[in-house]
Amino acid sequence: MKRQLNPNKPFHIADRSVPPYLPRTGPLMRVAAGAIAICFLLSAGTVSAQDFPETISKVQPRMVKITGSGGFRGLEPYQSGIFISEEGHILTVWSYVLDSDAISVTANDGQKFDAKLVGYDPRIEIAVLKIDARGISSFNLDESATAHPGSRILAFSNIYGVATGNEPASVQHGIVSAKTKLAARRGTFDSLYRGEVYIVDAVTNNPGAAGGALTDRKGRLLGLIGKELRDTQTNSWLNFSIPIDQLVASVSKIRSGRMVVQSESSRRKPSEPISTDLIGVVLVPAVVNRTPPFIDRVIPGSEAERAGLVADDLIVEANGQLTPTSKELREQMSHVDRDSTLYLTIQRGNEFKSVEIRLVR
Amino acid sequence: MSIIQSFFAVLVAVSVCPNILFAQTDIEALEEAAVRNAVGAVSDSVIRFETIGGASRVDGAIASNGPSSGVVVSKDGYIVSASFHFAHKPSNIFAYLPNGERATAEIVGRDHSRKIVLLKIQSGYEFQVPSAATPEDVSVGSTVVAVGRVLDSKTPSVSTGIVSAKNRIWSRAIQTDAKISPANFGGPLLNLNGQVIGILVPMSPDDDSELGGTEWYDSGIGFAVSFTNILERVDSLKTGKPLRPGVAGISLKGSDIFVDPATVAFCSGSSPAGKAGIKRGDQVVEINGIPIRRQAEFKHALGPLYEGDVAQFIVVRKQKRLSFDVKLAGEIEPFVAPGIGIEVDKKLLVQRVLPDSSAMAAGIEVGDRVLQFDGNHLTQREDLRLKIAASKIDSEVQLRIQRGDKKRTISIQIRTLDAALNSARSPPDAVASKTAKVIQVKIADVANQCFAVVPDVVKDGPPPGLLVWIPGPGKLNRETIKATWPEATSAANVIVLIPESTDANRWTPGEMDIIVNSVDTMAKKLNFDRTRVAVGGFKSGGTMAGLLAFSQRDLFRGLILIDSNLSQRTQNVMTSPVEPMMILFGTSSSPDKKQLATIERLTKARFPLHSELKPNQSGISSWCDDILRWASSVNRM
Repeated sequence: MKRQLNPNKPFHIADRSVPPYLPRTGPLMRVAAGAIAICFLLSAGTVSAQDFPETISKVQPRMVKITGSGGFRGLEPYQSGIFISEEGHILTVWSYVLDSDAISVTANDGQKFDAKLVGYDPRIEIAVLKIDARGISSFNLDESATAHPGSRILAFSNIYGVATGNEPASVQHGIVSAKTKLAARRGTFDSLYRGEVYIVDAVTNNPGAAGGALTDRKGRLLGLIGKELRDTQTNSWLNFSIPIDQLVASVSKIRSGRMVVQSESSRRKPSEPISTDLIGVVLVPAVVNRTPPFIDRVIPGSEAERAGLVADDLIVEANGQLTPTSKELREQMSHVDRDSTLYLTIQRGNEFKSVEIRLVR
Repeated sequence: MSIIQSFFAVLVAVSVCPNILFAQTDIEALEEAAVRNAVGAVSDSVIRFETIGGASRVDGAIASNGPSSGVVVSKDGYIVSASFHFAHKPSNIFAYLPNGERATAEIVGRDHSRKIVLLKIQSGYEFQVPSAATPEDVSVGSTVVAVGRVLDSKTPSVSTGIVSAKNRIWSRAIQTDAKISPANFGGPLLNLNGQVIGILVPMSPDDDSELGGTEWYDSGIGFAVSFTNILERVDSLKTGKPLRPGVAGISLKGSDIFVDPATVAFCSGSSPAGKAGIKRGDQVVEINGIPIRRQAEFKHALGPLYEGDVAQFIVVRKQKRLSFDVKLAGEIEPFVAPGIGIEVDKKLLVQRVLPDSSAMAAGIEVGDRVLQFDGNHLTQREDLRLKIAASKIDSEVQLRIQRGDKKRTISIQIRTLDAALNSARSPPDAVASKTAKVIQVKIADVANQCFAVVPDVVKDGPPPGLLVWIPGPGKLNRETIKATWPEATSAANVIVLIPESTDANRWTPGEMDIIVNSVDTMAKKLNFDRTRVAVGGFKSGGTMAGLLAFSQRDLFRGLILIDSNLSQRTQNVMTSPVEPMMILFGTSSSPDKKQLATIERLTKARFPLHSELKPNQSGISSWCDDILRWASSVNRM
């Protein structure tokens, strides 16, 4: 009856090892289309309502099942991938599954290959594999499509490892719910990727599905299905794919061997960050986790005073990022170098004010 | 038809409808366009909120403190959203307006029936109220679009599906298979014309707390409450007075709401139904024109109504149809159980007179047979119990009793039912059995072990009571049970049934069925007194016992919590004259925060509660005696 998955449980991959979802049958024919369809039937006689079967048979040969390490602590030893070249290059997600000497790839026709890891980009968590083959049916990453909220999608993956041997990948359908930036927090299990994603209204992200293909209804590649991820803002699991245009540059670097892993350097915090002390603001004591960043007092003669901040102001944004708690404000400020300008938005009564603060050395 | 003819026919058809041939493969494109148009029609009316501060946990669960969605209900800046998003009581709320502005907002009204809040945005912006579709215009199977503004602030998120059902959650909600989650709670559910059918809220048929139903997110089971209905109540919400579900104050007879008719078992004179003139024994056959054949229909008829609404009840009393206008209340005074302090067997023979009770003061003795109550003849135990339950506290009543060959009338004062642990034993030691044995009870289809400690049957003695004891989770050990329970069991003449958890580390609510099953299994083999059944437990076993007690109120009369507390799922439990429940509470050290909250909740709800069980350091075995003595007397009245 009720889904086993508890939205309030802390993230744990094993949470999803039991298929938690109720089967979903999508509405195949919408009311709006109904009237037109009747007109079709009258006019052409045998018009099929959709061209999914053709699309699907075109995409399936481009899908692969990948097996590698895992198989303990609820970590499934498999994931999905897509062919991106005639010579057998495969695009998939970078994960523990590939952390193995023996990566095995099963093509749509059941042929099994040993795959070589060409390279990976840990920042966006993708990897490229290669098998020894020619004349492979593949996606051309330079011809990918884009989609908008409401657009029909198909998702191809080996979700839950249901498909084995020459069984084709599982196909799901739905629509794009949103195209947005991934808001997940960085952490042990959380995503490093923080760019644009497609959020879809189909349950596409479950064990084994990562690395699968998201296509439009014509079978044009839209994105790569991401790993399982929980949205820390809504405490719900996300069904998302990374748009191909976000991956193309990295893939071509990996393929040409020019990939230089610069894992954390671009994100490193400044060595001398700005802080509330430096600008002359004392926040109300953070007695609970969610204490809002209210200003308790402003140090006389400080930059904060010069900028016009006063006691009881609530700091709602720092450099464009929402700061719902003092903790988050401090975190945001730790990313700002003390020599650069800090932009704050404050709420005073019902008014919002923007202020700029720049420290003088 | 020849090929040429059919080709011609197609040609004619095509010339009639030329554009369509080219559109052949684009049905889905049309569909996409329809969804986009529908969303476009309301886009400016779906507002995004952010909150600051508040609690990080609500009811022990991580609070949703991300952005949320709401829908405009009046031009001057009133927006409705799901109360779920504000359950963490944020200190500041602000809204993003369609023109990109940001403005402060505050909650001005709450609808506890539909689980929505009304917010006022401080801005001169002229908001657009979207057009509404009445639920009558919506049919099951028609396409709907769920919209939110959480994932992205610029473009609303969409999820499509169909209407799965109407009149869900006691006729308060429409059900859809679109993906409903915190990403669109508070947002609108649209038809393809872009009209708002409802507001998306988490809902559950058996949990009406703010978070109830959130576990169903993205599952294909989602709910929306009627937008038309909300628009009608906006003015009332603006006043700030919370809208509460309307209650009539009627307890119905029977235990199966899908089978039993809506016969009034109890209805106090001060309740809305009582004030209107409805009486015990009346059968409700119609509410506001809706025919009522079973109790579930009674719940459906009252489900959508609010406090202050007037409902027309048609009841049948002595073959006559009578009509009453009942003005529903938001809450009814909790029922405080009256009592005189006796226990009687099924022949109405007094088994025990509780010390310091009004029965003792009036001179009632063990062995007396109760014949009449205020001149009314009594034939069974339940008659007497309901008579006492319907009496006013502090009033005097006349009991006609038979003692030996003599009959006499005794005047007795009604007091409140006292749940205290007392020193008297039941049955008197003379008839108590002296030994007890431990047997294993096999439950069909499950691996859980289950033991019963059964006192030896005393010939002609009273049947034993039953205590379902839920220990902490983990494997049961027959030897430990043997060393703990038998002596107290035989002294109190109570069977103890001890089930085992499936998981060694926790009890799961799903195991309630297994426990009820074990009681049924045992009832087939052993005779026990159905009016003396209690359930209790230790630590998390006690929480489980609480769930069980309040979900099986026709079975259990008493609940024992040792070092334990009640779960949130039982937060709205109420006392009932029809299904009495008394509670014994004990802790081995001073009670913690949760335990104090449980005591406070039960006291406020006016349950007969005894919480002065002395702290005890030496484990459960030293409690056995008190627990069983108390469990043996849960049928006191």
